Amino acid sequence: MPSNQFTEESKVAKKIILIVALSVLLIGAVFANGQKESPKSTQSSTTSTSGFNWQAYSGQTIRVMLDSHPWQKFIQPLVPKFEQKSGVKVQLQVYPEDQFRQKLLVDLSAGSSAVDSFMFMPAQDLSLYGKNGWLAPLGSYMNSKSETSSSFDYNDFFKGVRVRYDVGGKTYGIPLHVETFILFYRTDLFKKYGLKVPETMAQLASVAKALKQDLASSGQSNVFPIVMRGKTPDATSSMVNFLFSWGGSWFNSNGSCGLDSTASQKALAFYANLLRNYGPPDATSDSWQANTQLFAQGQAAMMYDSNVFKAIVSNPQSSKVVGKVGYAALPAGPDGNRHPTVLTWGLGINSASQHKAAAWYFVQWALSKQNQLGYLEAGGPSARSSAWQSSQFLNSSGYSKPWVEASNLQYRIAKGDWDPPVVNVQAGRNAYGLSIVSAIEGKNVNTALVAACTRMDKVVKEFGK
Amino acid sequence: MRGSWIDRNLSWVFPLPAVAAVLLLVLGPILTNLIFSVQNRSWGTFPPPSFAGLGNYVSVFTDSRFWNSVLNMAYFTAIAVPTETVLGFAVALLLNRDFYLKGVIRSLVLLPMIATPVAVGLIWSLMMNPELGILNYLLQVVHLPRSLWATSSKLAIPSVALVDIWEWTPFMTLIILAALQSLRTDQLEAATIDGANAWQRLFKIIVPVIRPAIVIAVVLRTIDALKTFDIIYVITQGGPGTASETLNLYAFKSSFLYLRIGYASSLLVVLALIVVGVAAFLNIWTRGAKS
Amino acid sequence: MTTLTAVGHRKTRLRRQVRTGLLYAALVVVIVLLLFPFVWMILTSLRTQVQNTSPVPVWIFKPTMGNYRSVLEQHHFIQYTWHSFVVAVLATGIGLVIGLPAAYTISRYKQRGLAFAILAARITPYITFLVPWFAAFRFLHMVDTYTALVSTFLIVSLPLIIWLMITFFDDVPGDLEEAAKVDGAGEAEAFFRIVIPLSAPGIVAASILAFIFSWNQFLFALVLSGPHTQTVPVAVFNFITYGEINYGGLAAAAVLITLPVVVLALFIQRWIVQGLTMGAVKG
Repeated sequence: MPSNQFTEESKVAKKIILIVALSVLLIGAVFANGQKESPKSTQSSTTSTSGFNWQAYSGQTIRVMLDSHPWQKFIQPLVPKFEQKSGVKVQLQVYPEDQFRQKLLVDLSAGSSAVDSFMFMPAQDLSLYGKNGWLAPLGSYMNSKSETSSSFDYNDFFKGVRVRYDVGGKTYGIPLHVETFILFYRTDLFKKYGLKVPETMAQLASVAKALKQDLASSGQSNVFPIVMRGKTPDATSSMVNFLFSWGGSWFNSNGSCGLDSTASQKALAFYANLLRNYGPPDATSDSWQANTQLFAQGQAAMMYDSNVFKAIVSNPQSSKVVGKVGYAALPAGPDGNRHPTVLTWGLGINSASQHKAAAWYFVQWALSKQNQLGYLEAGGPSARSSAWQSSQFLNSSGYSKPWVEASNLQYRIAKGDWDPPVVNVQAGRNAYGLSIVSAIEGKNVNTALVAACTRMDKVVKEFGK
Repeated sequence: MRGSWIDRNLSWVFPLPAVAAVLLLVLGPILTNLIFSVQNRSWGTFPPPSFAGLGNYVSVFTDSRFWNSVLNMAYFTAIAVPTETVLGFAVALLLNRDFYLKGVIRSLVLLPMIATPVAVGLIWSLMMNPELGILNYLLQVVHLPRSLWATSSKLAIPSVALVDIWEWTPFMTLIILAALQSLRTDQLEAATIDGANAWQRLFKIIVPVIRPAIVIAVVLRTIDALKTFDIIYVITQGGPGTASETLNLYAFKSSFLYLRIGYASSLLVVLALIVVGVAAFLNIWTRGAKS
Repeated sequence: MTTLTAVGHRKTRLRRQVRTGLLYAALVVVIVLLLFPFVWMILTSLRTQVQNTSPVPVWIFKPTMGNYRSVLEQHHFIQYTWHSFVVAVLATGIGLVIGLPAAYTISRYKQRGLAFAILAARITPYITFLVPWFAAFRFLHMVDTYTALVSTFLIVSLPLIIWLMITFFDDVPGDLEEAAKVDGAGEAEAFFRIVIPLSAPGIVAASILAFIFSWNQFLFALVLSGPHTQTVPVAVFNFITYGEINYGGLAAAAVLITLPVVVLALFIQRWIVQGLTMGAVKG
């Protein structure tokens, strides 16, 4: 016989179940088909003959996926201006870099139309995305007078940079900046200890050593002489400059993996020793996010990373060392020459997007002359030559002669692929990155690099170059 | 009314949707994994899928990163489960008495295992931040050396295991507590009558009686520990390097970051075999202990 | 004689008091250890970024609701919460519809095979399901739909519901159904009219447990959700920006995510252990 407790509880519970069941049915009925937005009808054809009109796609909504990055931080507050100007609503999705790359990859490979425009780096993604047909060619938009504002001026973008977005004669992206890795240093600390800016790798090592002693003896041993990337795979971006400086390369002239060469071993040994002896103890977990914060908080005397991070270290809102930062070019390698590389992020459009034209309007607005100039003034290395040459920039408070000179020097002489020239770049970067972590931890450099080549060979075998 | 078609066939009509769900949700994916594992494929159209025979499996067993991930999985489980069991037992003993606010305390004990693992993991990674985290500050206050926590290769797995221990010790506690509280009075009396001291009482009489509960708890927890993904992903992403990369995470990266679906599928098949194997082994090994 | 016993009693009483004191102290330590991360989470969510990045923890401060405001206003958080809610409710609801009948026959007819198959779903790592599921949904262009998410979340909710309900149905004595059949009811009617109402507490508990674990689900949502369906555990990553981790926002988001399940769990705490051990241990 059921106890009284049973019947009492079951009366209350019965009511709850009834309510829940009804809610489930109700919600299920409403949302049975998911929340898919029906694509709004595209532009009325009358506007195409009457010239460019910002409001042509008013009423549409686009989704833009951005990496959490100085450019994103710059453009995000300005997006409402675009929405007003064009009537196009923009939903931004911003993720930290690791998640951003994964999420974008997943979305594109799902053939999803959920993402309309996104940031990408051609060296990393163009090959893979291109072969999979995930990028929409932009030529038809750029060449159309009704789809592109006359002030866009594609030729204003640095030639060496914008061609990186071209494959087979078609353009798949517009650069948003052009970066190169330079040496940031604390002018106040260098002055205090009488140090000279290192011009060669050997000098870099000796300056780091001197800094360590000087900082310790003046009671500032919590300041690291140098911070560089150690985290995988991000460290490959900075390590590759050292690889090239010692004469190494991703692949040998006969096509085999070049990472286990003697030159590569010397380069990795130098980088790893420098970081292990003079960098933070958790270096293998550090990428630019941690390092820029360390430097901006005054806890590093030198930093080797992308010149785009001037936006962080010279911004009074995020930096305690404003006015104390110097910029220098990558020190010269053993052959007496500097071997920097150049990287670029750009905006692309998803070929599966249902709002390609509206997305294009966003792209050309975000990378307009005015916005690129603003970005440059905020410390971001714009991809437009007009921005660098404008008197507004030269007279602005964001102007820094050493930064401009170091950057431009490197832009001129840079060559080589900062990413492995393979199709599956992520796997390739990982192949090298794991050996960098090993070396920083003090393990045998040669063994680590041989393992790197084993991994790289597999990447080439499965996806090609 | 009586004996309608449904009533006569209830025994298979009722479970039918569940069987369909199992076929679709469980069996289908397992078969798909097996198929993918003998292919080379990626998500997009490039490179096109091709047959690879057992090549992927050969790759798996000659892949040092695979062995590293299995080791990490075992290391994580070996730290977490025994610690949770011992601590859980101790706390259960502590709670096994009537005291003020007993109900409230029991509710609070639940919280770590109910809270969303992702949120919990993120808060712990903030607390374990070597420079700004509260944990290093507390270590400093008691004059202990600061730690690198999850940013160190050596401490990555122990740090993540610590979070797991915090999260799931309550689980062990509640199970053991339930078992302790269901001890029949005659068993308890037998324990006191002999005049044995507390420790003897504990181990010679109480533990054997509640052993079935402990065993179930350990088996379940071991399997779940092998499955752990959320907190590792959120705190270390498998890093530094591959120091905290378990097979779970390696398979995830292989398919969604390196786009090697065929290889990832073979990793998944091996992973499923390992977990099922461990489950079966534990089941058989403890068969006698479960009354 | 009396003096000796008096002293003896005082000593034992003292020893007992010390023991009780130590036990209470140990209890306090345990509670503090268990709750500290939650307390820290709440404190962090009420502090400013400057306070949160200070090397010395700021214990005394004027709490600010700014973090919560920014989470709720700027980051589509309410939308994500709604997605999480819808998916969890659907996964639970469908899990009940599928699971209750199945649990009933497993209990009454001792269908070990089916029970074992459900067990397999509980044991197997979720990533094993994710890759084939992603392939399937990709092929069907159904990534980022509620259908995709709910289907995969069923792998989480269905085993929980079935195994917990098996133990509840086991506890409902069969003679009630027999009595109903004598009165002319069929098996199915007996199930709906008698067994279900009697097991109502169990059903509520199973539902809430399934809801909680669906809400907490991360892996499936990470890969299968998109802007239309993104759930809160995935959304919380939006607070990790470069340079500065928005500590306050992160903590506020963590609080908001965890709050619903914590509240729900308190309602069903009696049955949580039963549910998680698949009925093997009664709480």
